[in-house]
Amino acid sequence: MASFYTVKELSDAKQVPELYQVTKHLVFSSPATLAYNSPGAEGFGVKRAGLSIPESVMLIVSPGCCGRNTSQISSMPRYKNRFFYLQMDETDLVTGRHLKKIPQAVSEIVEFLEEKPRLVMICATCVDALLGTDWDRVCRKAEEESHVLVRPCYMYALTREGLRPPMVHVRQSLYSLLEERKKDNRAVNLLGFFSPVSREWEMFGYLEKAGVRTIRQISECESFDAFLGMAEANFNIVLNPECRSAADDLADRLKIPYVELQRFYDPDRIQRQYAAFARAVGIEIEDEPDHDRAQRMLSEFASGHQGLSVSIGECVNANPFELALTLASRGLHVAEIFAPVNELSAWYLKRLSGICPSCRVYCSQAPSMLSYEEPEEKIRLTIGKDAGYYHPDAVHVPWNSDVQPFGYAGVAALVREIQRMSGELS
Amino acid sequence: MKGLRKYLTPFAPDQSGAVSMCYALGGMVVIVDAGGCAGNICGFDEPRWQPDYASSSHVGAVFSAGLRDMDAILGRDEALTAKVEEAARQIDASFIALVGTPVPAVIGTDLPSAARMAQKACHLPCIAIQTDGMHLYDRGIEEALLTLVKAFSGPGEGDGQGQRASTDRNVCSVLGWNPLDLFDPQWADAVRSFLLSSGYDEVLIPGADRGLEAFVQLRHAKRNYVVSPAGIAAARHLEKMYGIPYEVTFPADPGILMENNRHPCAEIPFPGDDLKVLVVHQQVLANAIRKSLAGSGFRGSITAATWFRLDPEFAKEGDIHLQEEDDFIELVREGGFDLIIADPSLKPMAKQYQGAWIDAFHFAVSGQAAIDHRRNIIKG
Repeated sequence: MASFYTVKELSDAKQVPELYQVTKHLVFSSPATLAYNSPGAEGFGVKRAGLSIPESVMLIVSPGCCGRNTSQISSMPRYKNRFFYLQMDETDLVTGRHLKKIPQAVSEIVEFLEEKPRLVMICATCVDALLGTDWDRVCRKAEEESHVLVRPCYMYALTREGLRPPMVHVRQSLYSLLEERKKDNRAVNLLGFFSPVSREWEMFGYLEKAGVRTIRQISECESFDAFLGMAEANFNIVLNPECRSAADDLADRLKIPYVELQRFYDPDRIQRQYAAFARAVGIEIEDEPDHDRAQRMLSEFASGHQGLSVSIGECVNANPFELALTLASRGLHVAEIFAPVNELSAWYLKRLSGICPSCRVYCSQAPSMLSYEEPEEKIRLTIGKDAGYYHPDAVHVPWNSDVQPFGYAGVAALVREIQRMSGELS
Repeated sequence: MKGLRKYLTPFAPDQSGAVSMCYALGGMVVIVDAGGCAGNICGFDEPRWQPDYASSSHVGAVFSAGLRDMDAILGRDEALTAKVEEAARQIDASFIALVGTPVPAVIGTDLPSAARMAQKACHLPCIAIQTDGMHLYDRGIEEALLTLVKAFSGPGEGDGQGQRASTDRNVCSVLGWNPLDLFDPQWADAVRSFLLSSGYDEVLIPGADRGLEAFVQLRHAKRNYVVSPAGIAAARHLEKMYGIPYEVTFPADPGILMENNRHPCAEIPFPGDDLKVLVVHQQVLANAIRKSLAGSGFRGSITAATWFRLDPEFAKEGDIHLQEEDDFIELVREGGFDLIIADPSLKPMAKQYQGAWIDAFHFAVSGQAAIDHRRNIIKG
């Protein structure tokens, strides 16, 4: 049987149980979450993230095993001719001679490509983490010889729980390319995702009304030069905490301050956050109509599905605990959550324990998940790609698209998506 | 430039081969890595993990050791043992396999010693497969197969010094089978059917058959058929230990090697006596295609080439071992071939080539393309 704690047990626990600390047990690569639990795998792992900037290519410097699954990404049209490999052997490990080959390899790649890249990302892996390779120095040398920009990104699975995990560092590395420019008071950047935030997000309208004329996000930059334009921003909005370090760098280096927004599905939480945001940046936001519409849609759906048993996964464009609280507090029966538990989950767990104390919380990466069996109570709706794997007969709302839902528009889109399935539910 | 890949993604590494050999045996496979290698294997290189691969697909007990930087720096082998012990309590496993990756290779982990510690703690047989992610899948299969054979197939009734175990059954075994040669769940069945129809009562296919029983029964085999160079070392070991003869061959219709399962000769787009053909696959399967063409009256010259192990004992003069992309580019440019039978992912390296090309998928080479191809076949 797969191990779990109930929401109540977790809420009462003095510390996060070892079940949810992946460094404390073997890691099960559940097929449910496989796309997400390797830093080089599907989704926006280091490899795809490192190629977010237009006109860039990547050289993966590693033993062959680390680049193997890249063919899965290479088959996507936008990544054709963008991945290259310098394979290491045992002698390289001992002598470090592979590092001397990198400038030549970069030059060969530049020469090979008909359309010359503006940037070559060097993707380094665990072995160089252990060897203590100075990648900044190696990249400088490669830049001198190839006459293109060369930057490192680190696919260091070994440091996933460290101070600078791979997905934090890759963002720092990308935004380090921005150089000081004259500020445009009417320009704002959205930082955090490598795919676009949905243009349905009401914030675009609020900012426009406040006088903002240009809102940039890395995924919408069509050229390298367009990306460099992000340095003109008056301020940054950070939408993913993994981008906080990069935003700190930009604040320090280019004097671009930032404000952080979290993704919520409870309209009241969104409204409170917008009020704080408006105060911080000195604008007015009139969000009452959007708030009321989202609230109404959510309430109507919930009232029509009281007691509906729901399973929520972690491969979802949401904080699973926040989404669980949003739904449970409106009368849905959240029976299961598959998600990592950490200190940040505590606030939600405390509130959930008063509404659905027996809700089971699983760690998808725990070895016992190999023995997961569906509970007797039938799960009717799954939200999150992984939850769908565990309940093949339920109605699935994967809610994990590359395009990122946010704000009231995100709430409305989720409700619409669930309602699209509501025929099956009823 | 040596080691630089501009066209091809890296081929399946040794650790993937090792896991593929252990996957179906009912053991607990622990990939001694930080998580990326296990993700690569389970998410990509182990077809049986894919739910749509075959009706017999199942999720095996494959785990990552979840090493972190301080584990590596401090060499905390006892922490690994504790994790394995904890998991073994939760999983019904008949043995444990520790599979090496680049991280233990760099920090010099003594995997056999770690396996002994795990065996003592878990009271289960525990083997170490010393892969490092820097070699190719065939080497991992060879290492895993030999380790499993040594651990589970004897000495039993044989004397371990060349004497065969006695049995009334007419049993043979197939050594070196693996899902990374052909991304086709039928290929073990095709080989088994062919050998059963040849008069054997039972066909053992270690690695494809569920559980360890195939390994335990190996000493009863009358003959071993070696279907990839990765199986040769185990075959030689079994010959030495139990006097079992072996034959390096592909005991089935080679049509299964070709796209749409058609016989290679049926695919040749034109007749002629002086045709030059290049076949690229793992050595035994390339030889099988060559043999099939030759046996069907084809009179041209056929060169076999492989990116993987080329055993001189089973090669013909002129057969080629490929290592770098430039080796293949030059071979095609200078070879004057009329027909190439190879994985389609090699095509971009043959831009100037004017001859015919027949796809022969090799999962260890093309990976995703082979998966997509198979899915298209299933969709019809």
